[in-house]
Amino acid sequence: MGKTVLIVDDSVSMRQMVAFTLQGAGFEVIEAGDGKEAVSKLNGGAKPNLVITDLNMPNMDGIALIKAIRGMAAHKFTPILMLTTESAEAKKKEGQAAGATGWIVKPFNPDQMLQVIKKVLP
Amino acid sequence: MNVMTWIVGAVIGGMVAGMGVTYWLMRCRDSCGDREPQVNPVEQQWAEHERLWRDFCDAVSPLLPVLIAQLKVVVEETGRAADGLIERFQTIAQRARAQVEETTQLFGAMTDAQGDGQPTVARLLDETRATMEMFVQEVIKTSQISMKAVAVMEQATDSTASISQMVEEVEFIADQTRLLALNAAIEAARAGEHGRGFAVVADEVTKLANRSGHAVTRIRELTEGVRSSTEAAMRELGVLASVDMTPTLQAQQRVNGFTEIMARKTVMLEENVNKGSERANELADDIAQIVMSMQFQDITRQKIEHVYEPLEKIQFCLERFRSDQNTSHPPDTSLKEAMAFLHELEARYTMESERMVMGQVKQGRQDNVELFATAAAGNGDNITLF
Repeated sequence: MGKTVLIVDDSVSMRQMVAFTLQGAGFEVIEAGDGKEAVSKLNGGAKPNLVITDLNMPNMDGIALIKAIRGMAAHKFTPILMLTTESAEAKKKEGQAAGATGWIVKPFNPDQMLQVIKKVLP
Repeated sequence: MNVMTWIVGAVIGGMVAGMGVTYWLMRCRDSCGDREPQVNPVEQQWAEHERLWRDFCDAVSPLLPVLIAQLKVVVEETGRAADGLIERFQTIAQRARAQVEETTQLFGAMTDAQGDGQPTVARLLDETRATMEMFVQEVIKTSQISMKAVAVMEQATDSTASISQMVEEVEFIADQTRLLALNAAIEAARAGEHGRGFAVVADEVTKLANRSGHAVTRIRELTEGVRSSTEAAMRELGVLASVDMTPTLQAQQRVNGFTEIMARKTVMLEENVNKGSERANELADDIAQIVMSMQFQDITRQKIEHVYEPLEKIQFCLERFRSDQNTSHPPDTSLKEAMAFLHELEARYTMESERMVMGQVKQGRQDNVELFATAAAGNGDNITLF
């Protein structure tokens, strides 16, 4: 069974594109429309090996989601990649401080994304 | 989309600047309100500016909700269209890959041993050639054996002829013996009582001669039978031995020709199938690339959101200015918050291209601002690992 990735983005099309890339590489995919839904799925027993999240989302943004995930004992060390249009260094530092593992600026290149995932997956 | 973004940006800038001027004008007017009314050219200008500003607000205020709604519709419609396109492209890509899989499996069953014990086309052709070769060799061998058998039969025929000659000799001896026994019987009768015993001997010799004669007749019949059968067998074998091998060899050549053509066509088919698979794979890759290009929708959605969000604040501010213009109470917190939002707009941008455009416009360089935005959009390393 392949490894599981939780994709969090308020854009349906972005979730579809990331899922398309990952499923093509043999990953299982779980989707969430914002940080709140992602936390709910994690509390409901979802056990992803990796989380890919957008930054700007309604209800709960990417930074708040990372902080929430790092507060869960089961996901303290789960790799988290930000996938966002945001490219400001200050925001990246904020993400790093919250516990993000890496930062990918949209638009993403599928091959590059898979290489990054390969690097960060335990 | 970028043109629309810059036009709206320019409108926002104009509005913010205009609001500042008006606010300043209104404050000045209020501060002068306690003095005696004087006909002053400066005040006349202010009054004219204020009138124009009110006209502008009256014109723009109902327009802003329309512009905002239109932008939201654009976001909604492009979002729906992108979702549909992505879904359809994904389906096409999956079908293309499935086709490659099926073709590979189908052709693999024809050309490769897949461990299922089924013969492949190449093996079937080899076996056909081998079977044909074996058949031809068997026919040649049968012909050679028949020729040898004919030779043996000829020897047998010669032997039966010799036997016939010897039988004639034996028949002659039997006839002579019978004649001799007859003479002996005559001589025994002439000797009378003394020849009685000799007469018995002569009688026995006659019987033996007769039996010899019967045996000879039987041998002749049998020899004749053997000769007749041998000749019949020779005729049959002769037909077999003299069969023309040419049609058989031609048939072999034709079968070999067919198998070679089949083998060549199989190789061509394999090449075409491989090319077809490559093309289908390329198609699937191209479609995957198209799907990835659809990320523009998410990016433009955010850019448009960054346009209509300040427009909503501007609308709010305008409405408040219009409703508050005849009142004397100070602006409340919500108006200040909306103004702060507009002043801090740059900090809310998420894309380098947006910030770059804002920077250029702030420096008064509004020409070719799209070029800066485009350069910024495709600039820099987009992956950072902490």
